[in-house]
Amino acid sequence: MIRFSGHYYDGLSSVRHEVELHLDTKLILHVKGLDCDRAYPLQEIKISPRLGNTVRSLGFADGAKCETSDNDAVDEAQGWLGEGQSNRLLHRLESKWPYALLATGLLMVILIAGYRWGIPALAREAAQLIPDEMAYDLGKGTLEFLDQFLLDPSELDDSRRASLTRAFAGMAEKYPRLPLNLQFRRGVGPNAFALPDGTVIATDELVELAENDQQVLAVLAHEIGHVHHRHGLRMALESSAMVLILSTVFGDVTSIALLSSALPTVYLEARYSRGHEWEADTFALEHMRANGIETVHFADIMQLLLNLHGDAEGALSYLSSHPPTRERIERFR
Amino acid sequence: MEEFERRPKQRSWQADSKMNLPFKFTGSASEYFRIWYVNVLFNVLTLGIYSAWAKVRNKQYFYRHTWLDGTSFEYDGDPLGILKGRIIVGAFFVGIYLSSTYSLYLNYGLLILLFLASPWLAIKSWAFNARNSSYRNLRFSFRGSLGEAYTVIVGLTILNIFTLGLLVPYTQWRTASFKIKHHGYGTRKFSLAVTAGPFYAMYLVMGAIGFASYVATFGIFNLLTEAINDSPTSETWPVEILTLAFVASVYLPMILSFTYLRANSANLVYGNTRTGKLKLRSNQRTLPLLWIYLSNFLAILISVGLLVPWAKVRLARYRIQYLSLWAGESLEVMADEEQEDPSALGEAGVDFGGFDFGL
Repeated sequence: MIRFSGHYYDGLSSVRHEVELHLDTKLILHVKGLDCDRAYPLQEIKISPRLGNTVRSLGFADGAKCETSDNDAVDEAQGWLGEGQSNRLLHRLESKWPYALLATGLLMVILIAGYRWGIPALAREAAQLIPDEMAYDLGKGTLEFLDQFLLDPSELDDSRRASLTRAFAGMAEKYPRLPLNLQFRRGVGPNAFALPDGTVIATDELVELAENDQQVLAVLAHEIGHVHHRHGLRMALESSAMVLILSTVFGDVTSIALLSSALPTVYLEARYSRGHEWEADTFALEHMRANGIETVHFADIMQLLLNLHGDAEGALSYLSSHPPTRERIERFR
Repeated sequence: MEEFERRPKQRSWQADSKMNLPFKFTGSASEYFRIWYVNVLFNVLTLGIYSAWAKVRNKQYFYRHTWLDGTSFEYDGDPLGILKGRIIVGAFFVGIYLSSTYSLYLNYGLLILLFLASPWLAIKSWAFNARNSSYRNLRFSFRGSLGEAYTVIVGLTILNIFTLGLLVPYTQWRTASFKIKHHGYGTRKFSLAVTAGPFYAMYLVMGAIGFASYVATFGIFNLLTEAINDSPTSETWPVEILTLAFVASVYLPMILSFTYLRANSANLVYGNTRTGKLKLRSNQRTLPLLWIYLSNFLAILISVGLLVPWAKVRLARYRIQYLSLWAGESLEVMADEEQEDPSALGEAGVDFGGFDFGL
């Protein structure tokens, strides 16, 4: 026999009845109060899952309900029926600190491992699995957008442009699967970037900074590396995966702390960018070695760029999307 | 065996007595921390499928720790319904994301479709939420019509674009009114006993607060930069600190104004919700709420997200603590009514797109 007390609500009105409950050996639950005397078979009672020490509810077939704070008694009753083990297990896991700390620790391990290895690996595989037409279709309108808002037409003299374009075409022949095409622009300082659809953009300022053609081509080889590895697509996959996981784990952070979670993701994504830059460097390194171009040219142009921008050591360099330039340069000497 | 009387008995009340029944929150960060993390772990291990069950458990935790007149609230949403809804809405959002990279027309089309569907999603989710919330074994309900939902959600949004913000206070009042007057408890209906006027007053005050605090913070920022420029030492402050100071002077007034808006909106809306002779009262204050938001933010940042459950409990406790019910009649005179079971599709809409209209 199990005895405990609680409140009875008949489901037809909001009146609260104080009642005593008692479960007899025939598994019938008796509910007795001032205006109340009912009996229900335990089998047909809908027992709510245990949640910490919150009030437990027992739902009856006639729409009435009992609420009680005596969770242990209800657990015992469930035990008599041979039910509720999974519920008790969940409650045990949620109520003992060692389990919660273990869960938190495990969670952190999974999240950190996922961030460092899981997400990049999945993004890499997924990006390669996506068919060529779809992968290179990505961001088709980007060049028009950049031309409209950021870039000016190139002012390089034609012969320089032609010789570089020829040399680039020679490089591109080695990668027939990539829809490479070279464009020159002006207006954002010495730089080069690759768009996901295979367009490689080099700025006039970069060409003017370079001491010779090989230095420009070294940078272009690095950009071809970005196209080959589908970094644009991978970046999109990686940041979406991260946003998805963060919102799953942390829920609606904006409503309790008022500030958006944009800041941490920017910092986290910077790490992925650094990885992509390193991969593109590796590609350039291998290409140059395979085609008899001295790798030191890449180191030289990087050094020229570095002298121009100054060394961004210190806190900001962790935020920058490129690995500390010194390390990158040393690889090519 | 005595026969149980089916007619509700009325306790004796003085004819004009009023009882102030404060809401109580009994949840604790340490208890919630444990529940939260075990559930998050299961969620991650099941790649998100468990999230529907976790949501029910988390919601039930807050409901069961909210007390009024000695009884707590209950939430009994069906996780399967929530899961189905989440999968469908999730697929829709994936479609929107993918289409943004491949076809701009498709992307805009889907976004417009989402906008047009939002009143339906909102109604479904409010109905699901209400239907699965109960107090003393009587369920709440939401019965707003789709037509009125379209007028309020789609119509007013479009109108707002053209009126450049003049209708924002009106929109907030109208949306709150729509939500509240179609909610019910048993046979009772709720009403919002306030006009749009106080909402306009609130926005005016918020504007004044924002303006004054911007003047103050930029004044301080200017003094700071002048002091640096005039300083005799040749050392310049690191860029990071200056950027931080700049960002702070932009964000802090915004946060202050926004918190003022949050606290007073809650007071205006909850504080004017009535049914029969029962009136809700809400008494949130800007500065304590601001403190909670800021310290929550810092705690979450420093703990790299570990203190999220603590932050949730803190905020809930504040809001519920300042909520009370003036009971001009007994709480025991409510009666039940028949309702059908709405699907859970819209419920997921609340979770994914943030269709929460501020209540």
